[in-house]
Amino acid sequence: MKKRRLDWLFWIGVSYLVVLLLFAIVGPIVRYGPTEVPERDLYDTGARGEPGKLGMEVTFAKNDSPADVAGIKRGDVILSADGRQLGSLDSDGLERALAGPQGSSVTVNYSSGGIVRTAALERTERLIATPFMRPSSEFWLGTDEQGRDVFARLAFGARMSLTIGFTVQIIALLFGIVMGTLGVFAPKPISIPILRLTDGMFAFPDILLAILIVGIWNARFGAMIIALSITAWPAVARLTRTQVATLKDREYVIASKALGASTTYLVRKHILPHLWGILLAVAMIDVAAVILAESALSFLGIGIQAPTASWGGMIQAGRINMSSEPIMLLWPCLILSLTIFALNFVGDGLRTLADPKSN
Amino acid sequence: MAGKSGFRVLRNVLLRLLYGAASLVFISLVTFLADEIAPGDAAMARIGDKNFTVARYEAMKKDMGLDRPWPVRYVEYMGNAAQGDFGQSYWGTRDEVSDILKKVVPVSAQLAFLAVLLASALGLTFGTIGSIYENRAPDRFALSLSTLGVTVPNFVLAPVLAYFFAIRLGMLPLTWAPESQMDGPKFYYLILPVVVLAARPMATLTRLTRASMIDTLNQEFIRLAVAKGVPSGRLYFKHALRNAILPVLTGIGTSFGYLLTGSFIVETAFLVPGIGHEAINAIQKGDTPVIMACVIVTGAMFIVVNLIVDLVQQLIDPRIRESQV
Repeated sequence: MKKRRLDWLFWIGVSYLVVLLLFAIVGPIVRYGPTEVPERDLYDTGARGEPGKLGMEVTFAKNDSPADVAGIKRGDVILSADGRQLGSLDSDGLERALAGPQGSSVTVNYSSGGIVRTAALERTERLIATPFMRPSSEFWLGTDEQGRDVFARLAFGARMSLTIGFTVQIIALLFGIVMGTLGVFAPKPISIPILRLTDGMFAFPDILLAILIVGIWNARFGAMIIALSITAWPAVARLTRTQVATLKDREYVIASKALGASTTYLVRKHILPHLWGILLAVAMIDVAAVILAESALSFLGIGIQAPTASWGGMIQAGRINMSSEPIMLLWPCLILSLTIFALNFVGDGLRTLADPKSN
Repeated sequence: MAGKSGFRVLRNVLLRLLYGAASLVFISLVTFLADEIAPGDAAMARIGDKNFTVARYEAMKKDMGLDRPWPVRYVEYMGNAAQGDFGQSYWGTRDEVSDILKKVVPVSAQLAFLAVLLASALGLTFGTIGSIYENRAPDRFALSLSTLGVTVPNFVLAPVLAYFFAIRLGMLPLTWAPESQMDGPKFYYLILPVVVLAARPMATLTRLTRASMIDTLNQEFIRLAVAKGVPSGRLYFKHALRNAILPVLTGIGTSFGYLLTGSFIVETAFLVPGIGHEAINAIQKGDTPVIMACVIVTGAMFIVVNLIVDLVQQLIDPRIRESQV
C-alpha cells in the first residue's frame, strides 16, 4: 500500500494561510487600530503649497486655519518646521514634515515679503489624502485612488474574506451534515423531501442564487452570509449522503446494528468519525469557493459595499485606474489568487490523507 | 430486446423532461418567494417615496392585484412568463421586461456559445496531448495550465488580460462599444470576454479529457490495437478519443452553467450588454421584475442545456440508455 504523505505544496499552503491569518488579525491593528476603516488621519496647519528651493511655497492658506490666523498667505515660503529645513523636499516629504496628529503643534519659520518670522501653529485642519502615493514608511504599499492605505485595506479585506469564508463554511458544514445524514437514515416522509431539496439546489447554476438573494435584499453583511451559506450547503449534504450511504453497509456497522445499537449511536460512533477527514478536506476547497463568491459579489458591486474594504471591491476599483496605476490592481489580485491556491493545496493534501485512493 | 430497450429510452427521456420541468418550477418558485419576503414591492415602487401614504399604497396594491395570496400570483406570473410577459421594469421608461430580454439574451448566448467552442477545442486538445505524454513535459504544461485556469478567478483574469492586451499592447479594445461605434470588426470586441469566459471550462475539460483518455488508453482493446499495429494517429483519435469523449461531453454541458453565471462577471468587467450586465444593473437599481426575469431565464437556459446533454448522452452511449435513471 502506498504510504500517505503530504507533499510540499500542502506545507506551502499551510504556511501561507498562517501568514494570511496573522496579516488579517495584526495588519489592521498595526496600521489603523482594530476597528477603524483605514483612512488618513493626519492634520496640518491649513497651509498648502508646492516644493520650492528654499522650502514650501505656499499656494493656499485655508480661511481661519492656524496658518491663516498667523498671517501666512499665498506666496510666502515656509523654510523650516520644528527646526527641520524644508528646502528641496518633495511634496510627500513636505507633508510628512508639516502634518501630524490632531491638536499637536509645530513651530515654523517662514519668510513673508522678505522678512523671516517664527510662529507656533496648532494642527487642526484635516489633511486631504493624497491618492496614489508610492510605498513609504507611513504607507507600506502606498495609497489608493482615494488616498487610503493599501496595506491596511488589504488587511481589512483579508479579515472580511476569511471571516465570511469560514463562517459560511461552518454553517454549511453543520447544515449539510445534518441534511446528508437525515437523507440516509430518516424515515422516508422526511428523507425524500430532503433529497429532492438537495438535488433541487443544484438546479441553480453557480452563484446565481447568491446574486438573487443579495440583489433583492440589498447587500448587507448578514445577507451575504445567508446567501452564501444557502449556496454552499447542498454540496456538503450531497457528499455526506454518499459517504454515509457507503459507510452504512460496512461490516462493522452491520455488526453493531445486529448487536442492537440505535441509529443515533451508529451515526455518532461508527459513521461520523470516518467522515471528518474527507469533510475537512472538501471544506478547505469550499472555503476557497466561498471567498471567490464573496469577492465576485463585491467585484460586481453588490457584495461588501464601499467604503468597507474587500478584495473584490479593490479589484473593481483598481480596474478603473489600471492604465495609469496598474499596481493598484496587482495587490488584491495577487493576494486573492494566492489565497485560493493555498486553500486548494491544503484541501488536496488533506484529501490525500483522508482518502489515499483519490490520489 | 429491442422493444424493451426502446421503452427504457422513452421512459428515461420522459423522466428527464419531468425532472427538468420540476427544476424550472423550483427555480422560479425560489425566485418568486425571495422577492415576496424581501422588503418593498411593486406597488411601493409604482407610487414612489414622495407620494407615499398607506391608503394610497393599499389602493395601488388592490389595483395591481397584489392583495391576493402569493400562490395565486405565482401561477399568474408563471402563466404570463410562459407567454413571454415578465411585467414592466420599475425604472426609466418602464420598458417591457421581455423587450429588455430580447436585447440582452442573444448577446450572452453568443458569448457563451463561442466560449464553449473555444473551451472544448482547447480542452480536448490539451487533454489528449496530456494523456499521450502522460507525466512528461507536455502533460505537465497542460496540467499547470488547467490548474491556473481553475484557481485564478475570472474577475482577476479579466482585468489582467485587459491590462496587457488592451492597455499595454493596444491590440484589443478595452471594453465593449455600441455596434455603430465599434472601431474595427465585432470579432475584436469578443476576443477578451470569450477568452476569459472560456478559461475555467477549458481547464476542467482538459482535466476531464486527460483522465478519461488515460483510463481508456489503459484498456485491453487499446493494447490489442497497438499489437495489431494500428497507426498512432488512428489509435489515439479513432479508438481512444471516441471512447473517452463521453465524460467530456457531460463536462461541456455542466460548464454551460458556469458560463451563464460567469457571464455576470465577464459582462460587467467588459461592459458587454448581456443578461448578466443587465441583471447587475437591475440589482443596483432595485428593479425586481428585471432581476427575477434574468434569474429565471438564466436558470431555464441552464436546465435546458443540461437536459440536452443528458439526452445526447442517451443517444450516444448504450450503457446509459440501458440503465435506470
